[in-house]
Amino acid sequence: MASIAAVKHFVPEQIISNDDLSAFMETSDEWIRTRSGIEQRHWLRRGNEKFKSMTNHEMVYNAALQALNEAGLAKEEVDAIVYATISPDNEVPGSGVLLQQLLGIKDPIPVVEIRNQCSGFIFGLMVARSYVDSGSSKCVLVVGAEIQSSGLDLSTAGRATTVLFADGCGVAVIIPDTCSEGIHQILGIKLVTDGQYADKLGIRYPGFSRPVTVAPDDFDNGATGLFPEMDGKFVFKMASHFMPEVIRDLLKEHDLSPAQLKMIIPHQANQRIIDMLQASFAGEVSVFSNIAHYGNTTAASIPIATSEAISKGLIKSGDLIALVSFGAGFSWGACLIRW
Amino acid sequence: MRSDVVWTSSRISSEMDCTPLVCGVSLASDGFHKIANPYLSECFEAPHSLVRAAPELAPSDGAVEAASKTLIDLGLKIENVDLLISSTQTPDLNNPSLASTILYKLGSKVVPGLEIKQSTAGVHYALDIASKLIQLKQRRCVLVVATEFLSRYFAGYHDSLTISDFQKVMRSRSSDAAGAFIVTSQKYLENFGDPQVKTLQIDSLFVGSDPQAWDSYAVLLPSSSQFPIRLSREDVIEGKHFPYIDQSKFISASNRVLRYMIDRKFSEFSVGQVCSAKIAIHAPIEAIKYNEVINSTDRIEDLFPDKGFLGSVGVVEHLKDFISQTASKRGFLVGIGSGVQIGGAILGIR
Repeated sequence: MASIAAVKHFVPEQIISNDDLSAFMETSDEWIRTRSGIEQRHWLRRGNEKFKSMTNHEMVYNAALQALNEAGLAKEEVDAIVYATISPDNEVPGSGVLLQQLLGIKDPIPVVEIRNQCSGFIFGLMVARSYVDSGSSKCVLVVGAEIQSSGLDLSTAGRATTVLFADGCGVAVIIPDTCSEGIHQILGIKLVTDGQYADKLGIRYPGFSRPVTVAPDDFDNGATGLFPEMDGKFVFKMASHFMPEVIRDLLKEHDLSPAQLKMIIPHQANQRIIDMLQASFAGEVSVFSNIAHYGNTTAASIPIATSEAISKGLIKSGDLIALVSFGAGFSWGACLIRW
Repeated sequence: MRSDVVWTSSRISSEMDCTPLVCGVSLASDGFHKIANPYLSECFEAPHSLVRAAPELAPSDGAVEAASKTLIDLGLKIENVDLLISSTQTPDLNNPSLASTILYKLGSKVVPGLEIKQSTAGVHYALDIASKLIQLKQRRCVLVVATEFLSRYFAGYHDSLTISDFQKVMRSRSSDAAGAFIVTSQKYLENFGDPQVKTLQIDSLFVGSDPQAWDSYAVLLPSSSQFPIRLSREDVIEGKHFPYIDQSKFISASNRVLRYMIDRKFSEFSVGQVCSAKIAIHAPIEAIKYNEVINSTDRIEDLFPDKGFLGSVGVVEHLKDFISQTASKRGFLVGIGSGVQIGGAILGIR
């Protein structure tokens, strides 16, 4: 059975506070905190050259080395990479092959480039688990990584989404479970997609539904199609319903109950959603939150949160934990882990 | 549990045979037209014709047509599917993924949609993931859809725009297509679909990336690493978001990874033994460029001269050809694309 040997994260040095944002758009710390719970976020080299510039895969390389070191494994032992991002270094090929190159892995290995937005990491765990459980891989890196700051509207017109999204990455090392106690085992994964609301959260251009993927005219009138667009209230309503439901469904499939859960680690989209999740499992389980410090890092959100929860000693051996995501698509999912 | 879920838990009887099979291979045809290549004079070794999707078609429309044909041919409904894998580098929207839209248009509200972006190796990666999930009984019926509307990268081109020679080469071969198939077990077909359909068994499969020449065929923009903005108006005006290919670099790199794959991963099947009739390669270059490695170019099936470069859908077209022919029993199918990503599969007709 596939197990998680380690999870580590990395975020850019530069911290952008809510007050920093109010210097170039009409917003305020109070407005952002009350609506999202976010106090600050990490952005890569935003107008300050003293902070180190790096690419998406270079950011991941830092986290990958830490994770491999924690797992007691060498770079050369990586035999598959599963890379979830919506902000790759290039449009084609993806960032996974660049990470492979940076790790110095010369022989061809499977490198899967996943585009599943906020649920990308859990989709990635599904793929990695199949590689390990089938015996074809012994050391899979599952990556959730985003550099979103280069794709945000920094004017007041973009404030509804710009204040939310941030940069960062997390890497999990997935290996076969050879320990009889079954430490850190992935017990089950459940994923759902409902595409009828694809227009409620996403970025339109460049896209291929029109004969022209992107045109100079698209940059006029605020270039709205080139930046994230979101119906926040609707997304909140859907997330509030389906995040607890998918956890309960997955627990039921494995003859487990919420009372047996130690912790839920949700995608960090909004503190109100996290509070809703806590309320729906009131008194039964704690729900982890770090959105105040990191913002919404899309595919990186869950591995960053998991890495922090582990490093803070909040998860102990034998604990049953649930990762849960909800994001653009809409796609959502949960993963049960016996830590 | 959502009340509109028809299928039950993904955990299934241990008695069910879970050898993964490929079946129901279909291609989209409505709104797709072959045209004489208007760029023949620009590029030596360009295909003589290309395929174009009608301007009003979205990639999801082509994908849904192919997927619908697949389901109908197999006597299945979308409710029988427990995973969609979408292989594409040309989604309707930048995000969310094309998988979401395909599933919605097929009438599903629950089937999860995995989206992968692996260039021409995408279908092999989808086969790899699907077959593992089927064998492990973590899924029972996987719908694979490949969609590539590659010509639309260049649709914004106008005569006053200067594009590089490497970009002209890609423009001279980029085509549009969509295809689909199912990966499932014989037992599942017997229980839920048409057990009489022709199927392909996957005897051996390899996927891998050799990144040494990742920039030999690429689309560099948008780039999250470009500041202050990942794609600017000037970038679009200057065509910096168009694909390009350095043919000599790609030929060298792809031959290297093809030789690695055959020598290390298909050593038990020498190409001459396997193929009584069928070898097929799809890549953004002519298959004859792989003569050094394959050494059987007179037998290599190649769509390129007639249809151009179809991305991962080129592999689906070859799958359809394999599954429909009666003469040979086995085939060796290869897809090579940006990365350099490669997929290779030995398939047997049942």
